[in-house]
Amino acid sequence: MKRRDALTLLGLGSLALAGLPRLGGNTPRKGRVVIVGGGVGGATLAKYLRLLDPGLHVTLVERNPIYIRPYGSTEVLTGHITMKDLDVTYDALHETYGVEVLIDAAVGLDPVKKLLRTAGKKELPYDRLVVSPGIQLDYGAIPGYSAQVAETRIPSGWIPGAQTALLAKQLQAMRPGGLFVLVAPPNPYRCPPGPYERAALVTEWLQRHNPTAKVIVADPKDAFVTDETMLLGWNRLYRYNPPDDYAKKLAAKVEVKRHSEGGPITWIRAKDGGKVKRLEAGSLQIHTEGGVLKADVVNVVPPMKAATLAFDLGLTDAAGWCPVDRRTFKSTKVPDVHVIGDSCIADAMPKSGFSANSQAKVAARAIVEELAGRPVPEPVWENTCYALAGMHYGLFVADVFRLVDGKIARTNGPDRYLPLDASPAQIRLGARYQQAWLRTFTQDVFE
Amino acid sequence: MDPTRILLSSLLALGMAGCHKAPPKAPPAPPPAGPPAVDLAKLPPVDGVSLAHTCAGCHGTEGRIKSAAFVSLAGLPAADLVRTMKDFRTGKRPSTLMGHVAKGLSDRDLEALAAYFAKLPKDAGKGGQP
Ligand SMILES: Cc1cc2nc3c(=O)[nH]c(=O)nc-3n(C[C@H](O)[C@H](O)[C@H](O)COP(=O)(O)OP(=O)(O)OC[C@H]3O[C@@H](n4cnc5c(N)ncnc54)[C@H](O)[C@@H]3O)c2cc1C
Ligand code: HEC
Repeated sequence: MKRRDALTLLGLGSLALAGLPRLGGNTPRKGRVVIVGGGVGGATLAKYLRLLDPGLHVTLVERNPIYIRPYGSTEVLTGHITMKDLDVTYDALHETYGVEVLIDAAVGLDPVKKLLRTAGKKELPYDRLVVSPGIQLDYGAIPGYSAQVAETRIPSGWIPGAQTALLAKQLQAMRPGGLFVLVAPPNPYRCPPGPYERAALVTEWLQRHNPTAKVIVADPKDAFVTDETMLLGWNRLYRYNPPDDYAKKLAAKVEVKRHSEGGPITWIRAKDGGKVKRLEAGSLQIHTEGGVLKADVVNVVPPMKAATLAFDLGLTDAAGWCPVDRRTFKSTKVPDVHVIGDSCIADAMPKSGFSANSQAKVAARAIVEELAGRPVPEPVWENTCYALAGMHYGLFVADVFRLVDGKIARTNGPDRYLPLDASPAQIRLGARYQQAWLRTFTQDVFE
Repeated sequence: MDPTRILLSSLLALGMAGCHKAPPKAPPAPPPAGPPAVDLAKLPPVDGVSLAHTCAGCHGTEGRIKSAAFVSLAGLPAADLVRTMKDFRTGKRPSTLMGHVAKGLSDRDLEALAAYFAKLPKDAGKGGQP
């Protein structure tokens, strides 16, 4: 917990907590929504609740006064942006939308009295509580790895912050010809194309600044979302030769170059021995099922589960994620509590910022309509994960989802990716849209 | 395994063992097997508000955005939006991803979306309209 002592209360927060009426005048007893987690899911929900029903009393509880956005954070490693560029404030949520923002950490709840407890010893009454606390990184799942190792020697940065900055420093200081190893996570995890985008952008940067350096992705999986389009990008940009099975599939639709000498980047899949058994933090040796890698800089994206808070509030299942009713995102474990974003179980939807944003809007409508005694609207969701194979090489997965037999299912059929035969212009455009999206998306969530 | 024996080069070789010799002359692959196709017509209707929410991450909250890349949708004549989306769906109008989005929506969805956006006030600033 970062700022247990910094119980800053922004603006109207104190009034609201004193039980005074807020914007919109009437304070209907059934109109008090408390949201925990001011990340993508929680911020979108707060904004859209107030847009849909300005009469609702909305309090956002977030432990950090500044949100460090994870999406786009890999660009810090390559110096394209700085850590400062990741900062997002809650000013607009408060000033434009009248959301009460309480900087404090949630620690528990009373499901009978419907009270949320905070580290700052507040008890916040709610009609509905919505939790969007994100993920926690299971550092201990890899022998030799730990939170302490991550903070000092082998950063993760999958929840961005000081580890992201440390990794950037390590990469930039890597010896000429050094080896950068990215340890990819098992499913399910936050941002499915993210580890491969990171490996690609690091490779692109190294080609320019450390041209004899190498990059290895050690993976406990044999496939990943956007794999064909990403590997094709590597083939074109980094002299990468895809594994036989991929090369065959790709060659059926597009020309795949066969490079007599492979380039700097290698993907070691589970079937090729990519699963990591343990790490040695001191010597930076990575013990995989296929052998030992002696690295110079290592980035581990460890296995994940729902954030600690979700466990503390009794919202998780045996697998460590939060089961919900898909139409409303109501927890199946605790009444009057909804869970959205990375920590909830959402079937075909990936754990992404776009998904969290889309889920927040569905939950917002469900809450507004239910509190008003009306039926819950039929939901629809969208997700697009943009990803880069290089700063000018954009690709993506894009899906629309509907509720089918109580589960979230894709409706757009087989067409989800950048076409393999996309033109160079389309590919460049994709990268431009990716960069623009970082901005427009942040606006839809926070501004 | 002897930790001092560094297998990097052999692992790199492993990675490269994957390269195919000559471009294999494979027949065009069938479309990737996705999940069983969902029959959109059999699902209950979705209203324009919920549908429009799914566009906002790119086209802006309530269809208004100031962006050099993405256009605003607020105030777009309904017939134009429906036609554009159908053209994206068939490929008549080329796109990076709008074709995929349009394939996930039914004609009824497009009508509901179009009616909703047509009623919204246009972006007051510039950079909005196509
Ligand atoms: C490198 C990288 C690249 C990515 N790229 C993309 C991309 O291109 N597109 C995309 O869609 N997604 C991307 N993502 C994923 C995206 O960032 C996440 O999926 C998204 O942030 C999830 O939203 P969330 O609301 O579930 O959690 P978060 O955004 O993590 O928010 C959780 C919030 O809850 C707060 N919190 C937790 N516990 C407490 C507590 N007890 N009390 C108070 N507050 C608490 C945290 O401080 C945090 O602010 C990327 C992620 C990474 C790491
Ligand atoms: C992930 C981002 C994204 C989402 C979500 C998205 N769009 Fe788009 N939209 C684009 C892009 C990019 C283009 C340009 C065409 C292309 O390359 O696909 C575009 C173009 C369009 C256009 C054509 C505008 C013009 O130039 O005349 C329309 C209309 C449109 N979108 C409607 C929608 C609607 C309706 C939705 C929601 C159902 C939606 N879009 C969701 C990214 C998005």
